[in-house]
Amino acid sequence: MFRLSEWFKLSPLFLAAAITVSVLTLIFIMILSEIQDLASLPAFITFNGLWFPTEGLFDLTPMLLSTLLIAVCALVFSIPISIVQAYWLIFIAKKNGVWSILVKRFIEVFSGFPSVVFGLWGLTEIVPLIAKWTSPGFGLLASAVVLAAMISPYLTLLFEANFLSAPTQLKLVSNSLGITHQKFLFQILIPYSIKRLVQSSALALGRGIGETMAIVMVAGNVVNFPTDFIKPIRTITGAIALEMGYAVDGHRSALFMAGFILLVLSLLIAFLTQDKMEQHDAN
Amino acid sequence: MRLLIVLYLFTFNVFAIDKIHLTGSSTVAPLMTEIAKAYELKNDNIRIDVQTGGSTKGVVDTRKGRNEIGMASRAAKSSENDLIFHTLALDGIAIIVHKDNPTQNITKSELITIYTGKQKQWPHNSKDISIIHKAEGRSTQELFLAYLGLKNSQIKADIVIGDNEQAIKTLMNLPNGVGYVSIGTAEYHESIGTPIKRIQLEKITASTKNVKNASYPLSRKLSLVTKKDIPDHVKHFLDYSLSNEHEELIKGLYFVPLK
Repeated sequence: MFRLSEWFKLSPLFLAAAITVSVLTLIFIMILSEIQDLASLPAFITFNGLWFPTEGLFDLTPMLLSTLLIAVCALVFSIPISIVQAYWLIFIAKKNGVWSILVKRFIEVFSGFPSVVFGLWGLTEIVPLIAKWTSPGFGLLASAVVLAAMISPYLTLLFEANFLSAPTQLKLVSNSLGITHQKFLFQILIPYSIKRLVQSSALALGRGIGETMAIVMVAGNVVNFPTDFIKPIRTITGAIALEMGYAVDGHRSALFMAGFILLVLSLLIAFLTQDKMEQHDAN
Repeated sequence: MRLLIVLYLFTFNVFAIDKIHLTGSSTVAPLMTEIAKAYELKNDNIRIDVQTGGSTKGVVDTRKGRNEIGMASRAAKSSENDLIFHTLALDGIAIIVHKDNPTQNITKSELITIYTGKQKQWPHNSKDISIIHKAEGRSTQELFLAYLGLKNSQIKADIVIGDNEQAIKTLMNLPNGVGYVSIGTAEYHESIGTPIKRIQLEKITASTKNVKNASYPLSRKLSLVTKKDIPDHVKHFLDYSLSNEHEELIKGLYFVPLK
């Protein structure tokens, strides 16, 4: 039991937590009330690939798969880059040297860039580049590249923190044994911090799934199953952003259903990583 | 304090607040919301409520007395002469291509073959056409489909975009693209040198001038609908809405003013 004085010390924290939890609960209630009928969920998962809300066709599966695939591809692109960057920052760059500080600041600034800027970059640089190979260039590949560029700085900062939490003796002992950087990274450091790395990647995945604006600009936004790297596809957040302002009745509740699925997906990822973290701490 | 409350109640009774309800087209609603805001600032005793639900709902509500003013993104049908349609502004869509595209003119049937995926290449360079289409529910998309007589599921688009600006930004980077935006947007971007151009539709230039004189085919009227006799406070608001004061608002929403 808390003593009263302790309770007063903690109350601002408690208040903040209570506000966060109640806002989240309210969002849930709001979405559920807009959906009206949660039992209609199977009607949105029909796998026929048809999303024409004004004609009464609401299949969310192509967009759901596209959303997941873009985020996963972006992770596949950005994880190797971010691991190398994080390793360089900690073990290769001179501590407090001009370069390491410059690069670190650069990455920090980049991780907070507005996503629409990445979208513009994708639209004017990446898409035309892909279009040279195959027109028009909008689709999974362009989206994954843009998203990878977006989450890579964020991932680098997370990985850096993960690597720093490994004991410094690891590196000292490796140095004294004459182990190369490559061997140290792949055979000692990554296996040692694998759980934290997975957890960081899952955080980035959650961020990737929620990304809207940058993807809307380069994905093409045609509702297709993501069967091809260059076929235009649409994400769930993209559909909500493009259509919500003009949606009425059934169309509107279909978009809320899409939002609900997305929310559940994000929560699922959050819970799974939470689980990982606790296991790690227990070790 | 008690005096204040009594005074407040007294004034409340004397200057009773009149409410005006508008329902109908989601195309007209943003414009009327802005006009209503300006009107409420000038008239303390009026509250205006704007709700969407489509042109048909707007007209039916007016006929049944469920609103004071209906909003419709079309002119009157012959079956609707029991009501009065006041033209508020005009709306037109320009077909646009990249500046480097030599195409000058397009016909309705060519547009249909391109947008349904039957014609896949430009005749001038045999490159694949990139078809830019708008997301479902947008009024420009609705007008475009209605003009071509197509359903959205018949369209074979390469890129689906949201607003006019996104269409322009996308087309700038697509030498073989084709798209459509509100005429006001296209004219503005051509004037500031954005590498896009309007092409003629059925040999008629997509300009605000041709929308005003009703010669351009891909256009429509935005109307306010009322019964034949209306109360004074509604009349006053209607006259204000139809006055020449809102040119900037109308242009800001990429519509075409009447004058």
